Amino acid sequence: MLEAFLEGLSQLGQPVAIAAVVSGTIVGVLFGAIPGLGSVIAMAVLLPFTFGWDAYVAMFLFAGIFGTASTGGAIPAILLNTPGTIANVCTTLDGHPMARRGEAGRALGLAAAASGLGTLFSILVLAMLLPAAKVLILAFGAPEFFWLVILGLVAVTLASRDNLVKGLAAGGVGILMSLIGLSLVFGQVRFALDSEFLYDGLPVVPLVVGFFALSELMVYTSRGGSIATVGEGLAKPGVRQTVGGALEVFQYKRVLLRGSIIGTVLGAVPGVGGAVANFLAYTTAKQASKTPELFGTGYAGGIVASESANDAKDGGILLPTLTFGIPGNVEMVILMGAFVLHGITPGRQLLVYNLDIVWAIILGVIAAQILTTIIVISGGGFLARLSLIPVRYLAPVVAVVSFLGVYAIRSNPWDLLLAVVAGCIGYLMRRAGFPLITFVIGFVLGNTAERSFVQSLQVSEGSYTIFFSSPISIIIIIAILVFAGSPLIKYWFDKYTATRKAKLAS
Amino acid sequence: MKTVRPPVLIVNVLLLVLAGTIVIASLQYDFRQRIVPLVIGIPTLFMLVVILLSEFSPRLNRILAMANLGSEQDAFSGDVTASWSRIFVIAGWLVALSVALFVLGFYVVVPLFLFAFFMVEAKTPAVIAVLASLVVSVVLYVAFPYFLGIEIWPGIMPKVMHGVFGGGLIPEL
Repeated sequence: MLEAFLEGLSQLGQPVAIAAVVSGTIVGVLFGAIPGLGSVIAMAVLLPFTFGWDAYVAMFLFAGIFGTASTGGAIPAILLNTPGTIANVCTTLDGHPMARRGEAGRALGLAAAASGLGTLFSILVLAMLLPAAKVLILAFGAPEFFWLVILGLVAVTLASRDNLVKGLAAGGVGILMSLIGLSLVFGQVRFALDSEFLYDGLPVVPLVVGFFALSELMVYTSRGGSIATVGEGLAKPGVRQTVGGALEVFQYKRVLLRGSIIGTVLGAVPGVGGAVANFLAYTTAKQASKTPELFGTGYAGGIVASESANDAKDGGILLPTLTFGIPGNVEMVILMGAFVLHGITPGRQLLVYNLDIVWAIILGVIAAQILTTIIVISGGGFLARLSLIPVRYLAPVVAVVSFLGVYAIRSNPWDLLLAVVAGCIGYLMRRAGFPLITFVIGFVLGNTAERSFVQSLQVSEGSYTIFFSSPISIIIIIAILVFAGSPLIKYWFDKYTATRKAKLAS
Repeated sequence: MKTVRPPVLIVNVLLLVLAGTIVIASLQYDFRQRIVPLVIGIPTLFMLVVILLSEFSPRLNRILAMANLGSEQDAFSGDVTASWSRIFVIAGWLVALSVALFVLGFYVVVPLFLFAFFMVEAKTPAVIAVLASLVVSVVLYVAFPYFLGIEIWPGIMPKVMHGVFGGGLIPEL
């Protein structure tokens, strides 16, 4: 463990690694500060360019991006009343009123410090849990991994905004699509229609870029205008006021700790993410406060609760991704894509054989968060103005860079056409209410699911009882049933409550 | 009377075709190789058929709505209800760009695309459009081959200028 930590630290000390962290942080803050773009598009567009890079350098770049976007998202939330990412919604409630009082710098300082400390808390928790996770993961065999994949898919489906059936169907199609091409389990090509293009399976990068970057581009460009709309002029935050705000965060230690714990715990549940953590931390802070009436009027505690929680989710969300290879959100799916691109197998093998990479990511997130705090404190006002760039100028450049990236990965021009087809299908799926994330998670985890399934049957010599024989499997199956049955439970509970209320009223 | 939503129908049929093809094709493989496609594929097909039928049956749609928790808006829940005409225009730009890149290559298409987009969609004055497209193109052409070491696709046209325009070998599909 210590050796891996030292290796990660020495890698972070390399000039090229520092450049990667700095670049990732700047890109993450920029994309986070422009509402709607976010870290997903940044990671999807940059993923292909990291091909051929040293794995550490690529991981430092991605750690810089995903660890900082929600901090960047606080900038337009405070200055423009437009959350940069969905996880910054509650920051607008107190951040913008504070900015309108002429205390934009104080609000930015509070947000930057709370974000930084929230991330550090969650990363510390992750680092402490790693040794235990390493022991736990060795208790997981092939059947447990199979159920874990199904659990991840069900959890993410439930957490996405659309209905369970559409999510599960999209996830199922994603798994089926992942089976196309050469199977490493059987050493045989399946479902490839004798196509050279499909021999290695559907390439993940054009799909991810198409689904997430190009379909998003279609949404924003068709809407027109600038990404953020400003009703009232931009406040200009001063550095002194911002530093003061950053120091003020220590007056809200309890709120900070509570927000960080909520963010870390909810982040570790696949699919839940920063938005839920943000709302829960904010409402909990308000309920626990002696002065709840101050929330929503430009109260510092509201900003601290919101920002500490949405950034603390970063450490939590890394836990299932790094230990079990179950990505909790789209950023983690792309990070897993980066693992595959650099020959690293996510999940158990990562923790056992590539612990130095795990530490590199952890240290990269810490370094990026410290850097982000400095960037937000010193240049928040400037960054907020980026949101006012009309999308019609951004869109063609993003499109060109996306296509260059798609081509760069395999130098195969057919990938360009695949990406645009994926973009159109992705848009239609979104419009039809099919969650893209479940399709992509199914696609990424499909091979793991099949490998675990087949290996289990090989071990048991064809007996299906192996899937129900270990206590861990039973616990996971119960969790799946609870998750999958929760809509019905909710429906019956609502119906019961409504009937009871009607009876009482009559 | 329930209104049938074309995107749901199109996506449903598309996903049904994809899943159905894999399920049917899996029957030609031995038991071990077809077990996962069948275990995953059959419930998936069932769910897709139910979703498809729910578009025509309000009763079935109500039953399906029970499964809608709507607990968190995902990161991509922005306004996806723009007019279809705008969506077709933007999709047309992207399709045209990808096809043009395939045929003519990046060196020729990127400046032309940027110029055309800035002129038509962004309504930028011609001089600014020319300058903007040239600046972005130069940055891309310096950054990609020299800093990132990425060879840029020259297109499938007959070779005019080596590595710049034409002469690209199309990989077998």
